[in-house]
Amino acid sequence: MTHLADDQITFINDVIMKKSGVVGFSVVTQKRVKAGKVVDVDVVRIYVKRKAKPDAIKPEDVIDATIMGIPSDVVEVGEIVAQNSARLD
Amino acid sequence: MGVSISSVQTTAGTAGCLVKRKSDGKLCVLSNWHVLKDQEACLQQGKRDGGSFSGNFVGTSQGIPVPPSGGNVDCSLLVLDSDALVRPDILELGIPKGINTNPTQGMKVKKSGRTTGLTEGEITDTHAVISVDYGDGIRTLEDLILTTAMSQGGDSGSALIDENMNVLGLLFAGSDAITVHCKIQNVLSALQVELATGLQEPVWYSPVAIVIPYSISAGLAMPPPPAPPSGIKTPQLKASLDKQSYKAGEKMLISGAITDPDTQAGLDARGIQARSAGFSTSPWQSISDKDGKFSIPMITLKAPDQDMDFTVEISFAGDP
Repeated sequence: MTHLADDQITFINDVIMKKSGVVGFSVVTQKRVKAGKVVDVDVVRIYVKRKAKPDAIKPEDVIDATIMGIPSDVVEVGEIVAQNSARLD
Repeated sequence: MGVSISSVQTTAGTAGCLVKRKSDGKLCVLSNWHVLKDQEACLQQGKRDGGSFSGNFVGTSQGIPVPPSGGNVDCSLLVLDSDALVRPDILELGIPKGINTNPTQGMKVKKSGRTTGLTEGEITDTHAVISVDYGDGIRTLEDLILTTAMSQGGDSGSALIDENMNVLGLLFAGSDAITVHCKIQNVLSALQVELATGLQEPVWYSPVAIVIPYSISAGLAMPPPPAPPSGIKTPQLKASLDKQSYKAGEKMLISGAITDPDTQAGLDARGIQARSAGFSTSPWQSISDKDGKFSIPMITLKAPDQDMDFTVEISFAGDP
């Protein structure tokens, strides 16, 4: 687990976070998880509302397979909301 | 803690845990800014759960608004009107022992919240940046803990607790897939508070009853009752009749004491009642004698002509 460099964080904030459906990322690298198994590859995790195939979304919203030299891992987390009880309505 | 609160302007969230203001040692409840806001009257239960200013006012909020630019905390204090308004323990969890500023991936965690109660989860990220929909706009917060999904709307403000009862974070957002928490060290630092420690777990007593056979006037040893749930004590109850025999219409006095089984200190009981077949049942009366002593007068409607049992029952405020 390595902390991303400042320029990598800036790039993700300025470019990746602007893409439609992207809701967050991890500022430390993680081991890739593939089919439930941990693979020894460091990745940068990008959190999205819904995962979709590249051909189903606009080209500018597709997340690159590699971000600033680090493989990306797109993780679906749903719509994240502040959890006061108004959210139960 | 772990129960519904809100400000008068919001709906309902959760009272997380107790903290102390560094400036003056004042006891406060920790929750989120989006639950309590800032400088507002606060309610328990929260407004959505029926709380109103006239009946549920418990204090005033002192919060840090989350700016559109985000930051790393969504937190607010409920500055209590009186320390006596709160219990130090988190519902179904107990009193936090301290804080844990070193969350790790895979760590098992739990929380107790207003909507989903006690739930468990696992940390999936300890350095996350997340965009949260606040209803009035999106705010992107950083240096967050992510866990597997362990909350729903209304659980905001819950304390995230590790397996050793240390506070790791403050729950504030989530989805169907994950729950999002601020780190406790960021929260305490932003609010200039520390976790309130050294607080005592309140003692709860189970209701208790004993039977006094009429033919024996001494306080008698009863078979031990079944063990109550952990955290609840069975108080010691002794009672006896004042005479060996009674005539019809004669006053009969049942006297005794209710004490803590460990300390022998007298207990305040909500109600005590004695009854027996063929006799007037005494009205429920409270015990406030500092030694836990009581006496219950009963009138014998007829002279007891056979052995019979008198039952003395005691219950306590807040009995589970």
